[in-house]
Amino acid sequence: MKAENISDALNFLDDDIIEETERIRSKKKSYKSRWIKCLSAAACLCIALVAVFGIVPQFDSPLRGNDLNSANNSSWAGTKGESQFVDEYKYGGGLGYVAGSISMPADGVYLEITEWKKNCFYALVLGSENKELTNGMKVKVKLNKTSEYCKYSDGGVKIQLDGESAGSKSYYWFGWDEDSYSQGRPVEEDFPVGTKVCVTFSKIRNSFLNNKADKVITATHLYEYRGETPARGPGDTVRITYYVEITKWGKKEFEGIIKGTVDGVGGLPLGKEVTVKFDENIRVRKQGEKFENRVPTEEDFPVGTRVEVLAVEKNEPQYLGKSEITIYSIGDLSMPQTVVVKIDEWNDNGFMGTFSGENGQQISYSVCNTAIVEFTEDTRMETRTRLGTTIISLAPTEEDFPVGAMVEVSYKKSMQKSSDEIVYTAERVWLYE
Amino acid sequence: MQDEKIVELYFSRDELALKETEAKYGKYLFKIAFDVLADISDSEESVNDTYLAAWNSIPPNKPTMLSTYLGKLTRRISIDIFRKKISKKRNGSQYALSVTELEDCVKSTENMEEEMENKALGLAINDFLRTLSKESRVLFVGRYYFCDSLKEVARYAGVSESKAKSNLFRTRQKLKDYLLKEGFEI
Repeated sequence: MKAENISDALNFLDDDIIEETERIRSKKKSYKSRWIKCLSAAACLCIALVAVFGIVPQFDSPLRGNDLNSANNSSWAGTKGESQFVDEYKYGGGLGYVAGSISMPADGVYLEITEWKKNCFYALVLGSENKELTNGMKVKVKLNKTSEYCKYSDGGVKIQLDGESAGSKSYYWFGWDEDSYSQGRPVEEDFPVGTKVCVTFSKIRNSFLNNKADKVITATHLYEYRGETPARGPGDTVRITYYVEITKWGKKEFEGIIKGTVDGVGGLPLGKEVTVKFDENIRVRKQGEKFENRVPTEEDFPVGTRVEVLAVEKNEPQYLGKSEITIYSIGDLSMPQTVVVKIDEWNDNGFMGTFSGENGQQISYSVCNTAIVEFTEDTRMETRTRLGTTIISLAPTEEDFPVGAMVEVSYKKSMQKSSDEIVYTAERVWLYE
Repeated sequence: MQDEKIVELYFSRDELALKETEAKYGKYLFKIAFDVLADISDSEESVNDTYLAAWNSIPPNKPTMLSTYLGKLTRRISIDIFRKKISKKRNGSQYALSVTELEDCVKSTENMEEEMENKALGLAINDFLRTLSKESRVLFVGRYYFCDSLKEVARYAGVSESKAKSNLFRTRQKLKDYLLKEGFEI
């Protein structure tokens, strides 16, 4: 018998046996082609998303290392990476090491955990930029399996330096351990009652149990910003760089709101109202200038300006009520601020629009609805290419950004004009994608 | 159009039957032919011969599964074409040509015997295949009946190529033992 005979004999196979294979042949083939189509579609979508959002910083997760600097400064004229302000410390015998900077996520809130329940916990609001969450408010935080969380690591860098004017014994610096990031639903062992955490969330709603919580939020990211190990020992002093938005000037002080910190741990929570007092040796630096030993004035930093200040704290930060900090230096903010605006109307000096977001991110809530964007002689238009490079051109006009366009504006300063209007002095404008 | 209606058209000798067959099974039959012949024009010829064979054989035959019926015709015709091609290539001499011409003298009786043998062998293989797992059966039929490549059968059987290869090897060994046991001379 030859192999050919067997091959010929196969023509006498029963129809059902042939059909069985035939069915699988065609079925599997179509499955695969559908699968390939799905994969192709997903890949195209990913490429499109990367192309569109690849250069936009992600604020919904804790920022580590120099993330914030490198991300934010992409649209900031003249400054890249660490700020000059920080460099001054670095080379001037100061801090010497910057672990990273943390800014309040657009939908983030600082909390102190008060009680744990299954798949959720209750907490007190310590600070928030979300207008629906005010300090002292009780919230229920729902946790889900896709949450990402990070426990505070005390294994970070510990630097001991001689103090300057504060005369302190040592400074402690704790870094975030990348490996400690986990995905899943955290439990009480991860963040015991009393732990202070920063939570970004996807949903917010009113609570039905008003006695237990005023609001219910669903967490997407959660990280501890102050662990059981105190960030400062007895008698130690912690030096922290804050970004503060000035709200009111006094004779020898000003009031403001904490908008960000360079180290992000052991200090006051973001959104916290503070009274800023000046040390007798305070130094002032305006953009492009050197430090001067003098008291800052409202002329240097008008209300609405965000400044970078160096505070040296001896006491535990006060989370409830207004806090007081003493600063040893103050400078122009190196952290860029941007606002996302949908243009409603053009005028001679800029445009007016609907406030739609902050810091490169569209947000569903707003502090106020109307953004008035004013141009100066220095206001420029940016055109961003797909490769991430920017082309700078002269003052933008209605032709460049017609009514209805969504633009992002980096601004030097902002001023609350009324409860519903903020005026931004634009530095650069580009199409928001 | 449903198979039953196409078969009805064949029975009523309506040439629309050929058009409907081509529309529904043209590509399927071409794939079978191409897997055997690996040549487009030969495959087209094989498929055309299949339509003619179907026209001539329905009636009297009334296939319940038209696809399988047509597929078997295509496969058989394609293998015949393949053999003729191989024969031409291999036997370029006048001697070979003369022997091929002489085959006509013995063809009818030998073919009858061979076909009977093949039918008996086919029935035995049928029985053997029913003893196998579905996966092994699909791999075997896909590889040796449909002449799909190893890569293809592995893909639609949902196994790796190496697994398909070893599975087919084991099945061939089992078939050999089975046929010996059934009294076939190998």
